[in-house]
Amino acid sequence: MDIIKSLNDLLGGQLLLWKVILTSLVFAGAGLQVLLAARFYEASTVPPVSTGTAATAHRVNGTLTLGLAVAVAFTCLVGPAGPTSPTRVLLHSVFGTLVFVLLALKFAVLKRVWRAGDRYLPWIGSGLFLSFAAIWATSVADYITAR
Amino acid sequence: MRALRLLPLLALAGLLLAATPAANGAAAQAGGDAKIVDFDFAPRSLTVDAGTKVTWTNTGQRPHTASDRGGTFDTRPIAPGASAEVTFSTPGTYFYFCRINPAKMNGTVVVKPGDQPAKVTRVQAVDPGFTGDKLRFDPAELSVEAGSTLLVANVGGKPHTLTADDGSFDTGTITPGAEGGRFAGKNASITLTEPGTFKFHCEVHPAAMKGVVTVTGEAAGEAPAAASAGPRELDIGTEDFAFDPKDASIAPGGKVTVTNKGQAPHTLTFDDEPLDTGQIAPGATADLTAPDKPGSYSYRCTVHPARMRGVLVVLGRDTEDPNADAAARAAPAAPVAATGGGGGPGGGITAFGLATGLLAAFLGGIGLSAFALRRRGAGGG
Repeated sequence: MDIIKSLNDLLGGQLLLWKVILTSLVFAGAGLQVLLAARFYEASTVPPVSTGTAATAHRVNGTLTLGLAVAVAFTCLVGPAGPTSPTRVLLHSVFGTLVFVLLALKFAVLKRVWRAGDRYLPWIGSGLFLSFAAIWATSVADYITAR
Repeated sequence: MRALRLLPLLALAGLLLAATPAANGAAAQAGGDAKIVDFDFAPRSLTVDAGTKVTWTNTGQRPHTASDRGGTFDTRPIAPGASAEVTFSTPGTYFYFCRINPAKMNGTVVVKPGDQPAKVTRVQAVDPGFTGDKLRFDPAELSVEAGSTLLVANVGGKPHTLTADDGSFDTGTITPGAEGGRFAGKNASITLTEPGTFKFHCEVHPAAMKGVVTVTGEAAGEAPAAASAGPRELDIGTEDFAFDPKDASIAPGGKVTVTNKGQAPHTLTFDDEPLDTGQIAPGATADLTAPDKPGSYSYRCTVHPARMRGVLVVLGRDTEDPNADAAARAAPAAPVAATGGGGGPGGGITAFGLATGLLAAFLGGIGLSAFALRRRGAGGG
């Protein structure tokens, strides 16, 4: 079964455009995550909400963003993608892998598998955001500049 | 210290700048079927008669392509379990590869001449480039009939020419594939009209790359455009994300009408000729005039250059049409109705992508800066 073809048909032949849209939304979600984390770590007063609200919003936004990221990553892994340049594809793959490595670290901390990792959470979060930025740069920005 | 505050934003800006595109069973087998496995062709070497249709079936778990290193055919990605066919009407040796895995997957198709003298014969310009071969023409000695065409394919990593020692013919420089021949190179055609024996060489590598072509028969005059076997008019559709037909033939100076049948904007832009439709909106059409000089001209969509590529063959007089079978297959198909109405999400995607990216960078930049400032405050305080 050609999963990519089925998905492309389902989306009216617009799979690539939807990937561009969803990847952009994931990047925006990652940016919001960092901002919300800065708020409940009390490093920032923006956005003007309580730290509890910021933490709840961080959790909800993180779940949604991760869901979208997994969906897009799935189409990347199973779909045929002739490279516009091997360097771009290599970087995209490296940062795509890095995201899931960092996510695994983060969940290890949150689920108390790696208790001592608490103090590294801001670093892991920042790394996640920068990895998403690199993924966006090696996909959406490449798509836009190629246009 | 102010610079420290900007570090996260500078890092992000660097990443965004990085978005600019930087810019790849051993035994021979006679017959027309080959398998693609992860990550190889089986067999790697095929020998077939001219006119044979070769079918590649992908039995692997990943998509692959079978693409000519000289740029004359490309199956596009073949999904696992799917097949793709290429009809080989021009005799010669074809180095081909998977352009998704250009380092791992390489093969050869040898097309033997048929009973009738070939109207087009392929010569490969080979070099150490990516295949580790030596500088040479393949074949270096050949015999063709007057009026037939040599299709010279650069399958290496360096520029080459095929130039007569007496200057009577010259392909001009044929550019190699990107990244030292990791990807497909270009090709050029010359029509040999005068009988005789002609030594030829590569202007770039005159000492190492030499050959001899014997042209037999009676002298053939210049080919008038009207005598071409190709059509005077050709319709090419652009879909999301392929040209239909991908490879087509036309008479010199013929009219090419390009219709965008997809939802995203596309272009038809020649690689080595100043011919470009510009961006064609969904449902719209654009016209081009084909080159006057017979030969193979590769083209792409500049919006989707990785996926949308094709070759336009400008046929000279009595030149065999390499796309004849494809044209015959396509002829009975009902024309695809233009979707009309433009629109679709393609129009504003650039603005959306940029706006969302900037928003993300802004939000994340504030957050990162806040963390950085807090850490600096804690460290200093």
